[in-house]
Amino acid sequence: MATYVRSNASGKGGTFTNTDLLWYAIGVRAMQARALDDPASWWFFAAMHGEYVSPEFTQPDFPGWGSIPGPPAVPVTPLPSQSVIDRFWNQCQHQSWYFPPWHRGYLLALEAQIRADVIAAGGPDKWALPYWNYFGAGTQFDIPPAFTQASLPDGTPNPLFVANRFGPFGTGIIFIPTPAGIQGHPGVVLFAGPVNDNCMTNTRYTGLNANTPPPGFGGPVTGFLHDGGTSGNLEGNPHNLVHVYTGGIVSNSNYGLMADPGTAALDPIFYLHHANIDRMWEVWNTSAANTNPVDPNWLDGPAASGDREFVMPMPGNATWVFTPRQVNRIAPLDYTYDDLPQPPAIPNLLSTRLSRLGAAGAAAAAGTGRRDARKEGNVELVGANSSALKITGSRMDATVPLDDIVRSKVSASLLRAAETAAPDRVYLKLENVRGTRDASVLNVYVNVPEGTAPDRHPEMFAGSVGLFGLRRASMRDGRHAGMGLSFVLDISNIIDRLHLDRRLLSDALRVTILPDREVPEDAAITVGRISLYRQGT
Amino acid sequence: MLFDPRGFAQIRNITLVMGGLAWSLLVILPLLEPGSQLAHSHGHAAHPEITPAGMPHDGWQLAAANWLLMLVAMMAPVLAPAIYHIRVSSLSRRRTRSTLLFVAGYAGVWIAAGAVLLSLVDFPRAIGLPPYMAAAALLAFALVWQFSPFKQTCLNRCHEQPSLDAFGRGADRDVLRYGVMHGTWCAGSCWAWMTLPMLLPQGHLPAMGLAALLIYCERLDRPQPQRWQLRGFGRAMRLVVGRSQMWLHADRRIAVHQAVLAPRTSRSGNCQRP
Repeated sequence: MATYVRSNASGKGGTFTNTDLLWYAIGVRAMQARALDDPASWWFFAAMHGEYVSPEFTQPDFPGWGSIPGPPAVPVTPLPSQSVIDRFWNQCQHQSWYFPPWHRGYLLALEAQIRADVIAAGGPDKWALPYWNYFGAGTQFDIPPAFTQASLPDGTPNPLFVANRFGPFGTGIIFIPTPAGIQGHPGVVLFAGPVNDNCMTNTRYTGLNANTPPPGFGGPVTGFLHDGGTSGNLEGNPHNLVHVYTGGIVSNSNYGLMADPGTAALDPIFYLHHANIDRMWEVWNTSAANTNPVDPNWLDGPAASGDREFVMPMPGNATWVFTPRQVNRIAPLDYTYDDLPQPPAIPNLLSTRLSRLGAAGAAAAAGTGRRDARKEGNVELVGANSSALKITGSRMDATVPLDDIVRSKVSASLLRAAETAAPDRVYLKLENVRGTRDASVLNVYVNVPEGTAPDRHPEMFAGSVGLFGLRRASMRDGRHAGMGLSFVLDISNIIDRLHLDRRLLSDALRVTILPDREVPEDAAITVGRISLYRQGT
Repeated sequence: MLFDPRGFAQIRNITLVMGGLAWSLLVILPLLEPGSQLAHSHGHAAHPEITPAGMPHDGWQLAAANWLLMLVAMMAPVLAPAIYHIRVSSLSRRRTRSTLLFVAGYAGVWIAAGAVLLSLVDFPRAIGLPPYMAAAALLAFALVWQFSPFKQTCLNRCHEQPSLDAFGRGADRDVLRYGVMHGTWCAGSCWAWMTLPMLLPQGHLPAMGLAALLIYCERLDRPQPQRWQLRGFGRAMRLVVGRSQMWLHADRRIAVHQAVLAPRTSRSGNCQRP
């Protein structure tokens, strides 16, 4: 049995009678008492994930750390030296295949520091972070109550309570709109695509296959990547959506800390969310079908390519430089979770798709696995709109012209799917999404019949994307050159439907984007291009 | 659609081969035709008959050919990310056309810049400044520029990859504009290092090689904050060290340092404080 066991925060109702949570609060308070430039402080750890307080990232207004309404009262001085900032701060890996391992190392370091403070306060030396399993039974979609109370049992202020945490409705009711959460909290906000754990049926860490939409469960191949690009499937849903929905938004100039990577780790719920994401990665790894990358570029991390190293301060004035190789699995780290269920059964999506396309024989063959090894094929552009689009108000419609020749390749592949080759897969890409309104979710529909409300056509729903990281990815002099975020949605099922209804023989697709709430003119979100790609032979 | 390391490697290798071919010509041509202007129009010592306008007597065509050869040798390898972006963003049948238009826009800027820079090369001699002194002065200015925030702005813009129209004139316009913009920021970043070898009385080819290496290496860095700082070979050197270690320890399985992860209550220790 591992020394350290991370347990479900819902134990004892998620209140302070759960001692994991009580000791967590005591540890957080100890860390919050330290100065910004102290590597053992709450603020230093938050800045390692991302910050708006150093000269490079500071903002005149919210989310600048000097403009965050407390609690907590976030310090803006004293700043560490520039060399310390350059080495430690703004490290979090997003839109990258390093997303899971970097956050695992980050959790281990925070946990070690909290544990040291718990021990110093007379607490258990085996203390470990609890996790928030918003997919759990009952009402676990609700934030554990310990995070919403103003004071601890002894009457002192509760360091787990954060003023800027607004939830999906912007009312301070914090829950995750999982299918159960949506039923439990009926409201006016559009939840077209619930927060789900569908990524757990992916079978490829990086890349794509019949069960794995791009860019894969863990994320795309990148170097050190702090801001911008395309999220992996675990990161996109649930991770990004949980951040955005937990944070919520109340005005253009004020949204929840959790909704932005530069403020997220100031909120203590952050680490319980990431403990659950880490648990999902570990569960995914327990399936024999799933393996982490064996590419040395992943195993040895970005430092092996001359880029920044992953480095954490540890108790006792130590520093820990780590690589993904060292945190590949949780057991060698002497850790486990109290619940590591079997991963879900892998559905045979190719067989299902071939059946839908009328290729029963091929579907049966796919069911036996005999057709699963077919070549993935090349990726090519089918069409794209011509200029940047602005999302304001409650809806944006766009026409995406398609190239006749390439579109006919898609049609031909669907027609001959039963014979020789797998049907093309088709992806809708939102490119270079920019703005400052991180606490937003965009719901994307394709070819909704004119004159009808998109949310009445779930069969034409392509997906929901959370804009966690939007502001940082849009900074022109940021590490990603202001290229913004990009999203790839697998719309093969919608294309199949259009093909079967003989509606694919069109020279354009209509794309409708519904923000989860109205976007004011002065907070516009722009989409650089909406494009359609096919993958096939 | 998404970054594909193998697809990118193909583009990178092609640009490296093109750069290599240009370097081969730069080295071989003087050996084949010792009197050739094309072979010798770089540098004062090898090129004493340069006119006050900076043009060889053989005319602007030869100067442009020289400049283009130098451009391909030094710049082709750094164009791989931009060309890769264009190819994955374009309809497959337009990929070659779009790439050529981009290169045309890019080269157009550099040819215009070349006309100005070649004039600059001849200016010191026109005012009677010894060649070494002129080269030293430009080297000093190039170093100041290299470490300046202005240089970082140019480098950051070189990493920008715009959204591109997919069809018709719009697609042509977008890639041409991308080439012009990329060329402009590239010229802003590299003009001094491109000019310096031409000022040298001798050794201009080795100087060009060093400048090309610097230009290639500094593009390996991600965009950075605009501030005064050393920049250039840092990432490349770390990359060489990292790859060497990876190669030397291919079978290494790093043990997890449990001692680091274990709880400690003391704030003192032997490890360095960050």
